[in-house]
Amino acid sequence: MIVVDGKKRKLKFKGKVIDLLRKLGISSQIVIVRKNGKIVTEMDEVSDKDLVEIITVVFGG
Amino acid sequence: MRCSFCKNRAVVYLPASRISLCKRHFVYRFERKVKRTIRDYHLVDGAERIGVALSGGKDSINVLYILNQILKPMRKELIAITIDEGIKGYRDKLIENSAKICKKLGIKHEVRSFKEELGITMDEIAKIPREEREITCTYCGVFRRWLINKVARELGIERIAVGHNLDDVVQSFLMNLYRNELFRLARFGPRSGIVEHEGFVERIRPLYRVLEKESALYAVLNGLKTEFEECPYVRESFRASVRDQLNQMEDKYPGTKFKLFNSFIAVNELLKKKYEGKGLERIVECSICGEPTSGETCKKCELLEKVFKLRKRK
Repeated sequence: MIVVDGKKRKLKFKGKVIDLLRKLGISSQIVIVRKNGKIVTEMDEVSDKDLVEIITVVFGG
Repeated sequence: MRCSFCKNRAVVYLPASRISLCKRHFVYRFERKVKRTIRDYHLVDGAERIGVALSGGKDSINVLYILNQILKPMRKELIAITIDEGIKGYRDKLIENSAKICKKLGIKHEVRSFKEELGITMDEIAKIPREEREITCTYCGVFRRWLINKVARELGIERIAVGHNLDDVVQSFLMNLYRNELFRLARFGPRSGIVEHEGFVERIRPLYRVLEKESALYAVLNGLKTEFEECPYVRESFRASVRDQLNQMEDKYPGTKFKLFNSFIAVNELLKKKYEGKGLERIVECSICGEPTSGETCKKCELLEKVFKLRKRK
């Protein structure tokens, strides 16, 4: 399951975190990604079978 | 992915330097970078009472947390100042978080509000039609800087630490280039600018060399921040557009921010020489509030007067 800032996204995916972010149009500069509760890097592999949480951590003006 | 140094599970990959780091190595390198900035630029040398402008966001909490580690053994005093701008549903949560952290670390916490000190909140300003006023961030930034400086002086604080990170530096660099306001860049170093005046409390920037994403990760890994909030008015700002552009460039060309940062350092030195002692920054007391300013009245009084006039017309 892929969750972006608390909202579930219907998406089939298997591959690197960086490719998932590209697919979703999210900059890797502004998020932290958790796979099954653990923080992972952009080069780690994830799939929609995992709980993938994408959390926006950079806002501000 | 494994850590490049110990083979534990990595929590971050740094594409510009092509290394991955586990929690332990990331935290160690982050703190080392901040402590080196503090040492290299003598940010706390010669001051006994240091303040932190604590918004409750990740950056200012990290500054407070790391300065506390450094200053405690040196027996220097640390005081946190939080400004309540009056943004319902946003600032109240951050103030609560700031109070919790200060209590946990045993740090004195001073909270002041726009409403009490200026007679108006940011929510009230935002209700004025957009076409009649400046963007909200202009008021917020000017008023906050004015109030932090005033409170810091009242508390006898000798230097005030702010949470500006490398992303902020690079964004300001580009914004001032876009606006052709190069003299402003001369002010933006790890210690505040080219003007010294007894009314100004010197500002220091311990996170000057760390990326914003690294700062967020540090706060999460240390349990300092669990929720992240966005100011409801931020989308009005020019800075937000520049930040988005920069993040796109960094995604496409890793290392862009560091390269721009290094360009800024080179330009900053030249600009300091160009503007130092040129009389561009003659400091006098504001004829209305008495705070230091380069004009007859300060920017805060100028903006406040306009805002009250606009509200009266409604």
